[in-house]
Amino acid sequence: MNPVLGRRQLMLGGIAGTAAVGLGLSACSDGAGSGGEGGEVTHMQFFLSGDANQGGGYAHMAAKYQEETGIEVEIVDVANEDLTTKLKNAALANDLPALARVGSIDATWKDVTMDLREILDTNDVKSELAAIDPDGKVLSLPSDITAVGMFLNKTLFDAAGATYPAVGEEPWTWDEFTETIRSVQTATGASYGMVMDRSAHRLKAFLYEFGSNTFELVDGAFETNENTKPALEYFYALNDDSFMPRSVWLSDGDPNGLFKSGDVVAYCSGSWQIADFAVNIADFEWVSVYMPKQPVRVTNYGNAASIVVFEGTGQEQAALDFVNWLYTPENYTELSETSGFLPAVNGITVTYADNAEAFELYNEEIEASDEVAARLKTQDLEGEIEGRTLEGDPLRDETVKYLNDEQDVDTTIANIIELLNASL
Amino acid sequence: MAATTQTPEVATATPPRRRLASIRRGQTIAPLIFIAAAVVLFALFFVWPGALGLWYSFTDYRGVGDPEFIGVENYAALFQDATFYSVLGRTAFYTLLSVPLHFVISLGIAVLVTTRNAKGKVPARVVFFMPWLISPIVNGVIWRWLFGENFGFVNYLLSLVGVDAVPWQTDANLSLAVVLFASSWGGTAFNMLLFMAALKNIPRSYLEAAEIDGATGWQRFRHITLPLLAPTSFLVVLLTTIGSMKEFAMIQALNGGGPGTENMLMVQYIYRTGFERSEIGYASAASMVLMVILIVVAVIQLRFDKGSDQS
Amino acid sequence: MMTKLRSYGPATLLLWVLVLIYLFPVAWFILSSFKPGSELFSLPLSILPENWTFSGYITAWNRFNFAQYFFNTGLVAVVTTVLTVFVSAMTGYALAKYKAKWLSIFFICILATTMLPTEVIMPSTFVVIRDLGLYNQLAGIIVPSIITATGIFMFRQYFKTVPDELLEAARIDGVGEIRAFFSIMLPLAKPIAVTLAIFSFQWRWNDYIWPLLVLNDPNRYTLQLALRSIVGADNIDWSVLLSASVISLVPMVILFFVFQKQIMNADMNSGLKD
Repeated sequence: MNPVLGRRQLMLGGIAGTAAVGLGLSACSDGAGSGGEGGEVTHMQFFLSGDANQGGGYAHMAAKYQEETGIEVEIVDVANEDLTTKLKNAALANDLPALARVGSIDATWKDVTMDLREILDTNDVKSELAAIDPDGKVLSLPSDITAVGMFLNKTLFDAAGATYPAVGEEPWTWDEFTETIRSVQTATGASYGMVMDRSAHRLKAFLYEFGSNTFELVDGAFETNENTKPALEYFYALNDDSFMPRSVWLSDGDPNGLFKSGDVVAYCSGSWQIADFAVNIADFEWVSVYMPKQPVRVTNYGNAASIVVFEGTGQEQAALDFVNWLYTPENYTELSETSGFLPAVNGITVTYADNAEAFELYNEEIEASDEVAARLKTQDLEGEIEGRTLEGDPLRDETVKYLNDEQDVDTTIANIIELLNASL
Repeated sequence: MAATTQTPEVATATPPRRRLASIRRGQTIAPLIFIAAAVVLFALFFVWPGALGLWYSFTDYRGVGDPEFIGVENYAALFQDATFYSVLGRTAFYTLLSVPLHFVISLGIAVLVTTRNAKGKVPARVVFFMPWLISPIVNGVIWRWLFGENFGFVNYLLSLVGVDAVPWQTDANLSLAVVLFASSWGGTAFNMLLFMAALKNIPRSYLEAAEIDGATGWQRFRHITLPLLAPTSFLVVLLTTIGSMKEFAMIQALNGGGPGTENMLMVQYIYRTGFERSEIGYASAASMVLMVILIVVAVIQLRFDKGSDQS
Repeated sequence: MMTKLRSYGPATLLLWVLVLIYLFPVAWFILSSFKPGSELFSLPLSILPENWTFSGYITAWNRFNFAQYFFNTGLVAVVTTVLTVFVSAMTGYALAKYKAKWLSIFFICILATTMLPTEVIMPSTFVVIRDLGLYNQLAGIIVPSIITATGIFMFRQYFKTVPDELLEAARIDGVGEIRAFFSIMLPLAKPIAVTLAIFSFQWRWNDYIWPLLVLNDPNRYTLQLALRSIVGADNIDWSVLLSASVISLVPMVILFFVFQKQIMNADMNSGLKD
């Protein structure tokens, strides 16, 4: 009946515990060491995600680099969702790879990146998409570009005898676009007119086209202009379960799958879908067309991802050499052609093997885009450098509540501004 | 052979107190040795990180830099957030539906796959086991294909018999119902296995004796099997309660807490308002509150467990 | 003959109705892995592939080194499972068979480990692993996974049903506490041990976050990490994902098939009758 633990009992407990832990250790601690680096660098790791999904361009370039220089660049393809966590923890354990292709700059490692200024200048990389700190240090380079765009079910359009603005013609307005789509719906009996990804990235393109500046940081606080409210109201009206199915934005329904069913006339998504559609749509013809304007001609484009080189790995110079090699016009063109990238380097010509018209249309849309898109993208990159990265997105989340009648449009805009300001 | 004629009540009863006391004497060291490994691991991988989380909940920590102590500000903000209460209510509602559903289905299936009176039990077990292995993202596509509002299989079947499309995705309650179906389907294997092992543990002689006495199948189940399953039932109920209160992956995969935010449950709220906005302090505070709620629920349920093994 | 049918009929019928309900989503999943990507979402909905194809499997097989993943995951799963069963049995036994206030409190503590969202615990746990020198060691993914509230809870509930007389008899015979556990109690708990082994295997099989964070050599990553990498930022290659998922299920289904026999064959009654 003695509840007080004696010293001997505690010791015994400790021994048993240590034994259990030790067992785990000794059973499996062999073979963990990675090849030591000393002297000349012959091997480095390059963390990225989605390379295999996108034609394996980086793996291809790494093989070419090894052939030319004998240096092995090991491509470590980590799931998109896990890459941020992996790099954060690698930074904590002082075990960062030589370089990485990341979604955004993370505060845990932003102070241990190398300056990429020289590579940026030498190769004429699009500097508006590079993360540059107030001192002019280039933290990251855009790896490639993605842009928002519109896809149509051409088979339905043809069956209805409807037309869309061809390349070189004047783009349509959202009013003309919705009218045409509705006429195709009526003529063909298609269930829905359009689906749009549940994403702030896509919604921003929509807002820009209505003359909105979305949410812009001016003098230390976020604000928006008078065009945002009517644009959001327009979007609300489109989500009426006849033109757009509400399930996509309200409950995370799958727009890609809905468009592939062939029963939806249009899909507002982006350049990354081209490769998927080329393989996985067989029942109908699809086509990429201009985004509508109302009245602003613009698409939301930006870096699909960014290349960073880490400091303190003992492989900095080798990694910089590789990145410099990768961005030379010849190699960068080869990378873009293999992976189907929209180039983030000025003045190069990419010849796409498949779906060339679609890719060229995107490049044309980016060229013609109103400066608002680049301005807001720069603001995002500055935010990343200052360490205010948001994983969630107030614009999307609050708009979803508005579409679900949980709040009105004014509350929605007020909430977005409040949440963005809170992140400052 | 004495056990064959014993009634189950006697078998599960604890020995008289006097004898218990004699057993207990000098038995303090043994349990310490038995739990030593668990204590060490618990301290290293729960207390240490958990204490850090508790500390963060009193700070304005945002994931980088030094956390600054701000007292109970995070907790105050949490208790003033109307969303927190509606989320808590919805989570409790979901748990109240999900626990009985999980319990009845998995117990029923466990009985069926162990009874002498059914054929094909081994392939059946494999079928019930498989859903548990399927990852959330694949579950998402499976259940959307089945219960998609716009092009789902169930609505397609209903349209064949002339019923209008059911809003499985845009009606809050129907949407929650789909989550319930999917989580019961995916979670059956776990509870079924627990019940299978427990059913196997019931001495067949008790059931045979009762059968000879003329008890019907239901009577045998109600008066012999069910009472003997009490410890496992308690295990299943408590684990399912905790699991349901923390439901996240399935909801995330099926509807993202939608429509809108109407089916946002506790853990998703913590992610949305905390981690996604880098508000580690706030998220930690909300997590601590969730843990306290769960501990209270567990302690209340433990009273029933005590009751069952002392009666 | 009639009585036999009457006693088998209803239960079998009910069982197989339930089997069909449970099987339907699984069947869609497996059959869809044989559909070309273009058929997955096409209308009219059909559960059977129109054009059977193995292209998803071929792509998945060529892209991922399944043998390596199976080996990595299997090794970790086996070691962790053995340790988990052992630690859970000891702890659960102590919680069930010894009465003390601090044991009840420790039980609540163990339950509490399931109550915090992983995000709260994960970053700090990583720091603990690093500070213990377990970073980039297989032990770093094994040791933190050894204690599980579920396992300890399972054994606790189970040992509660074992009559105390059994233990008392051993004590009267002069058997020590530790030996009583190993020679009498542990063998009795075989069904629970096997059940927990299945659970533990499944948890390790589907674990991805610790191997990713703790190991820096991608050759030692696990299957789930590979599967997750199929899901890109903006799109998912469904036909590869479904095929690779089906392949990843196979070892677990085989394992279950073998283990469920162990649960059912364990002869509990022999130990308790005397």
